[in-house]
Amino acid sequence: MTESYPPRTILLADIGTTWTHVGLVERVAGAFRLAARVDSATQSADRVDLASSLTAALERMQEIARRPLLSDDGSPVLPRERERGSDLLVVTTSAGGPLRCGIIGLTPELSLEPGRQACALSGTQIVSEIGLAEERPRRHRALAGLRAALPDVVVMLGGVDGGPSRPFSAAASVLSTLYADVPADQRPVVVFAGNLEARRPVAEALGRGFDYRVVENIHPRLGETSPQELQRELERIHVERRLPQLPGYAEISGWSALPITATGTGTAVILEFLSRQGRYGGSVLGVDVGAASTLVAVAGEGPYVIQAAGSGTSRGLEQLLEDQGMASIQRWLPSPHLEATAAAILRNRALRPQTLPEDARESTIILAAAREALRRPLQTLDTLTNGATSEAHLIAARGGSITRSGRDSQAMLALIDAIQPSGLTRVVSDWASVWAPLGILARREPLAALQVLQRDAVRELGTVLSIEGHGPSGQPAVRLRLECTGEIIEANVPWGSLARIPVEAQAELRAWPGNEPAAIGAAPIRAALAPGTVGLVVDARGRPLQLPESDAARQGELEKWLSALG
Amino acid sequence: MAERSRLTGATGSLAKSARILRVRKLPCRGQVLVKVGDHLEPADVVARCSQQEQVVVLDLARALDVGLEDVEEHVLVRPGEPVEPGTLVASRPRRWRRSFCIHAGLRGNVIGLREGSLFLRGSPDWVQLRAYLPGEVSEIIPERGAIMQASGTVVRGVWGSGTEENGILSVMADSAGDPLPWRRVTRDQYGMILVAGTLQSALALERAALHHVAGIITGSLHPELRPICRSMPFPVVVTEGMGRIAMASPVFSALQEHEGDRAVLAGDARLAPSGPELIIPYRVEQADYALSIRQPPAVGALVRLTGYARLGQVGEIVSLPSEPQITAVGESVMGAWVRLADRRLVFVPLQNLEVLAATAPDPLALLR
Repeated sequence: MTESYPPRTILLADIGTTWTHVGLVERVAGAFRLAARVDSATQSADRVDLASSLTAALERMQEIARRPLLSDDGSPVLPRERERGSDLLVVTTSAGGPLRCGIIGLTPELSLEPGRQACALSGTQIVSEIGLAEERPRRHRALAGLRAALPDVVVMLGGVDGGPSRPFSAAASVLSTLYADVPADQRPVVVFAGNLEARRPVAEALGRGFDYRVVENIHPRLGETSPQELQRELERIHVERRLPQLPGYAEISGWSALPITATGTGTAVILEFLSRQGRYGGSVLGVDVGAASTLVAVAGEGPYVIQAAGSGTSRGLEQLLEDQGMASIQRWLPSPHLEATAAAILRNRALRPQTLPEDARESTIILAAAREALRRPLQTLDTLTNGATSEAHLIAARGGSITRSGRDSQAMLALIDAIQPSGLTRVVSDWASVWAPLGILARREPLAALQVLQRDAVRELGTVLSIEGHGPSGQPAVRLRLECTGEIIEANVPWGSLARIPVEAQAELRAWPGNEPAAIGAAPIRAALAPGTVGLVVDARGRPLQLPESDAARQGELEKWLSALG
Repeated sequence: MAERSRLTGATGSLAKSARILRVRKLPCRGQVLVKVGDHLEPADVVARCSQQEQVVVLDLARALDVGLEDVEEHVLVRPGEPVEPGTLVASRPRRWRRSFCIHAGLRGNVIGLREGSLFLRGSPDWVQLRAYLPGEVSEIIPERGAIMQASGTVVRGVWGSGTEENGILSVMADSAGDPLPWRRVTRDQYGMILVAGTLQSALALERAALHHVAGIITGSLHPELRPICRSMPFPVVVTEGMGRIAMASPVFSALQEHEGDRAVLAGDARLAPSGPELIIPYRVEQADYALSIRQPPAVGALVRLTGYARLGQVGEIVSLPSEPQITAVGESVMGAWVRLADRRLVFVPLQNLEVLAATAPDPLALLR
């Protein structure tokens, strides 16, 4: 596994539970460009097979790019031999299965609940929760149950810095007894994210047989939450513990110079990068509506990305339906007929997650499911970030439900409905599904990653101007003037409606609130708009978005909104 | 690479006269009880391992009525020591009164004492992994299991419940779209695998359980019946989807051909999962693998359409355009033109096709 430098050809692969996406990056006229991309069905029986999924996608890539990438034995040619193969292979995956996590906290409200939220990370499944305030026999039974739950990691958390350490050291001593007859390599990792003063006593009580890691207290002071370091540690443990268990992991590790990484980690790098770019600027809300899971993340002024996870829209549909019910999805559908067929379409999609929607009604139903898949993780993220999701300047979307819906305008409407942004928000998508491996590539070849991201990997959907508050239906909510390549468009958008104005080149926007001065402030909004596949969407439905209560009125409004975006 | 998918059962949806390999692998380390070349029946045990252990907590401080720090002096067992039900693990004599005596309630070992509690680990029970397929052991997986080899017809399901059973195939429907009639589920179906076009009746399931059928394979299932299927003592396998969808006609015909033959049926709650499936084992001289690698669609292939709009329909590929086409949704995808049974031509994304047979049963259909 040697590499030729500087690289000329790079393969980017993201292996999901349902789809494997591969991008071929080549140096063209001195710059790295995304030359070709393929989506191929992920190969799995009971678990995803990383190596066969990757080679199946590379076989397809060979046909499309018309260049040999695989050797006779089916492995990728690495490094490149003249025009055969590639110089570098970067692989990310979201197929690692959940990290099984046990939480030990001081109190249910102050420790377990924030712990649950902090662990609401991609691939983290809480298998046991233990409150240390419980009386001793109950606490001991719960700790005994923790061992039976076979966690990969035990997170201990609670208490502000300087608080009591005795409950933690007592629980740690029970853990050390409980695992006394378990070989060290089969014990869970113990992560301590609580009171600073308890770190050492816990280490002493656990003894040497545990992989013990300490991260920043998630509640260093009253009213202050700091879950980022815990999230990053859980992500690291996920890569260490879960990914090596996947079939084909060892083979790919032998092919690739870079370690296989979680999709969420790579995407987080891109979100951070986008948040720091003047071109997009400010805080970024990343949403990834995948087949098995939905991930939302905020990258902004702070140094870290904060994430939360939920169910997906094909393989994860059963969980979504169980959590939120069919009615919550049906409320986004504009006709009784669609409501009636939604259950059958979604239940069969869960059985065959790789099928593509073949008509508009399927696509509408899947986007309705995507709205609901986003709802819960967005609520979690809102709690973690004090409402940062609707304040984002940029929505960066990825995942098949959004990027493969066939109509960017409907996908953008689903994002607006779910996120309910405020003010001016730009919307872009990872149309090629390469952000995750591109983020990992950036650590090794930053120039290549930057060039591909800036030139090829970001699709501009458009900009949404959202009007806060509510006003009388039909009365003007906002007046706007759009100047684009010498042409001037003026429009009034009434309360309760949506409007779409195509923007095909750089444009200047000025917007004034209508009869409701409190709506977006008295001064006009001025902004430069980038061209996009959808353009400018003016959302004058108000915030929070309220669907009419009667079925007929709700369906009528939804139909109007869908038609307005086209 | 292909070998792995072949073994784990990541296969196409119907394969006749095929060579079948199935990995029989324990979820954790255990003992393998067979050797290469052994001929096994479905119920023969291939390997065994210990079930997830149970940890029991005895609150000795409370039971002995002493402080936490005083418990240790009354404990009579040590970490690692075996215990049986009734073993005295702690006692505290009391003046003029009966001593406090604490006994173990299970067979196992002492883990240790901490904070006034004694932790005991129950001895695990053995979990047995059976051969599932009647056939020959072709390979041993050390400490985990074996690979079984057989030949016959494989029908893959898209949904399944229950574990693994074997029985005689009994076709209960006159056509591929007929429901399982509860009136016809009688004691005559004892130990049989019932074939139905669709399953819409909870009563039929209850009667199947009452009369000890070995399993049910159906084209479709009413979605509300899924929890009932999961509570049944036999496996249920669905080949097409949820709702009221007829079983694909080639699958139904294959099952009709083998009525009265022995088959094995597997749901999703198995020790060694390879997906829901039905296998009809029989001897084949020259067998190909059971559609081990998902068959690439080719002109002339008989395919099942899996997109919801045409779910359950079967057709023949008449053309495979080399360029992507735009679907009604507006997405640009690679696909195939398929002639349906009613002779309509439709464009279908490749992702929405499953190959049922490499060539259509009537290869001259295109000429007519």
